[in-house]
Amino acid sequence: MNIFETVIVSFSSIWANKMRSFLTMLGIIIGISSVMIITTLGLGVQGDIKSEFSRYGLNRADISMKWDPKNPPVYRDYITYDDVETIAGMQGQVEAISPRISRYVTVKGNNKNYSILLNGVTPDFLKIEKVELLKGRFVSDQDEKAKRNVLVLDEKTAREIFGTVDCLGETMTVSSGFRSLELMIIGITKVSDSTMAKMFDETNDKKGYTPVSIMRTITYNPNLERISVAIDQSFHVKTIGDMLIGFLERKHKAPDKYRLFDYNSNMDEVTNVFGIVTKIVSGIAAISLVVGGIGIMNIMLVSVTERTREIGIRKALGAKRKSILYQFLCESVILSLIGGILGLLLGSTVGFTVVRLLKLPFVISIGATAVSVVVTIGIGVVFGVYPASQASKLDPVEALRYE
Amino acid sequence: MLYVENLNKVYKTGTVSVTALEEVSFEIKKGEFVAIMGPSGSGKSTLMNILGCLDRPSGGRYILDGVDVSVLNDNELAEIRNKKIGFVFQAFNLLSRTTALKNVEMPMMYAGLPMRERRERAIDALRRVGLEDRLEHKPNELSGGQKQRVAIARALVNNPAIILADEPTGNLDTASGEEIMKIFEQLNREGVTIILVTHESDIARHAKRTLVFRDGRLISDVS
Repeated sequence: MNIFETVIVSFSSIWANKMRSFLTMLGIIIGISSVMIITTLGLGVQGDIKSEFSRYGLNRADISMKWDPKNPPVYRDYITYDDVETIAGMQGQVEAISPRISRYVTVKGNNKNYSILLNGVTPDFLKIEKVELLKGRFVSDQDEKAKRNVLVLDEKTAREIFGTVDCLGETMTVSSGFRSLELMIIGITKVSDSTMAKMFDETNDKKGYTPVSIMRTITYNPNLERISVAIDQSFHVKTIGDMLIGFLERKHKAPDKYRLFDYNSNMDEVTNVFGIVTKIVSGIAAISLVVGGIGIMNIMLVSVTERTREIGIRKALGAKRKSILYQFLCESVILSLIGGILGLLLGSTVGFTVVRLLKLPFVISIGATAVSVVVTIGIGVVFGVYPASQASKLDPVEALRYE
Repeated sequence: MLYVENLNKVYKTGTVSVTALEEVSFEIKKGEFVAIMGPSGSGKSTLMNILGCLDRPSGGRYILDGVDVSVLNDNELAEIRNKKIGFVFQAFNLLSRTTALKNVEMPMMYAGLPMRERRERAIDALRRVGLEDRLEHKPNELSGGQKQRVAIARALVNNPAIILADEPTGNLDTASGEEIMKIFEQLNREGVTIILVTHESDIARHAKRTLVFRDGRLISDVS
């Protein structure tokens, strides 16, 4: 009796008890599918964060002041233009740098007041973050140097205030509470439609850009609160980011006042969260798989009893212990494996649906699939050995007499 | 061909031991048609199990086709059953989910013969018992007589040294029983050695020699 025939015999006896076999597989199906769902979801979220960050800048390091109420930053801690110049001069490591001041300001347009997040940036900001322009132009060097009263709005904000994106040349009164300025709209930027943008952008609120020099005037604030730096691809972002923080700490003699924000550190956080969730789900899945395995053992024992006579006949016709052992072992492995495959299909389908609803990318984990197949085969073997060996040890005379 | 000498079989249940066979000796030559008779409890089933290599004697020797099978282990006995013995049971003992053809192929499957040869030989064996038009029928689609003919084909297919038939007509009506006995007679004419266990003298008379047992002992041997 070769392997092929053993497999055929196993399939036919599983098929002969369809309902019973299916119920037996449920534990395996639930265990494997839940692992599949969580890994699909995890990979989807990670994939989306990555694509979101590729817009935000994968090689981007943002250094900002650390807002610790017990140890708040003081005037001399703040990043200066001098620092920006020095960092910009680190050629080979730093590709671009933009100082930032970001505040919520009130803008008056069409006789109504709106709160928007206004980012004071320099033209190099475009080399750091992929900001796409819909109309007009972005902040230029001349704007920055000459302190021109210009404003770039995002598409959504423009539509909300003016009802259209055709608002170039319009002026708006922008006030921070300290000072008001009349700014002219020179450009409109596109809005990213990614759902994850909400989580990792500063905000999903209305947004605008203006030269840092104008922002300093409006906020009456000479300090830079943040710098965005694009790091050369050949360097590890965190290494250079930490180096820059070290530089600032030494220069300002201010330890523990600066904070690094980069793609990798964020990715680590998300990966950690999903790592924990995956571990919990895997634990539950493992319990489900063990219960499933016990179910298989139970049904195989029933099957051995039911088929005592068949075993007797096979032995009388010359089946050796080994043949009977393999036949029942093969049956439990196939039972478990079919459960595993159904679990993979169910898990992928549910995972696909959930991921699509959340507008996340769909990735099937090859690793999880391979592990699932190996684990289900393992369960089939581990829980099938006892019933199969019981079957193989039956005495042919007794077995033939069994009614 | 087949030789038993001082065969004993004792069953022990706790402290009680029951002697099922006592000092049984006889010889069966190639091409014989022997009936083993006796009332229930005479030990004929026990003898049948030993002759069929399903069980081992407690004492004595059993030589089948030149091999002392009383000293073999389980796997070696399985091989002997596969190659040298063809069983025909009272309850047919066909696998219900499989076709006549697959049932007949089974002993050859365990013998490890290639698929095509198995199929050819199984068709041939079913032709010998007149069932060439029932190859793909399952046991529940066959009459009792037809089932027993499938079982005979299965017993024949590995060209065994002996065919052991244990009350082969016990579950059949008289007409089908006669039909089965005719097949056995025909096979015996073709040179097949047959040992038939029965308690019906009508059936035993088809054999050329009768061994009668009582209380575990051979009490008569009539040719």
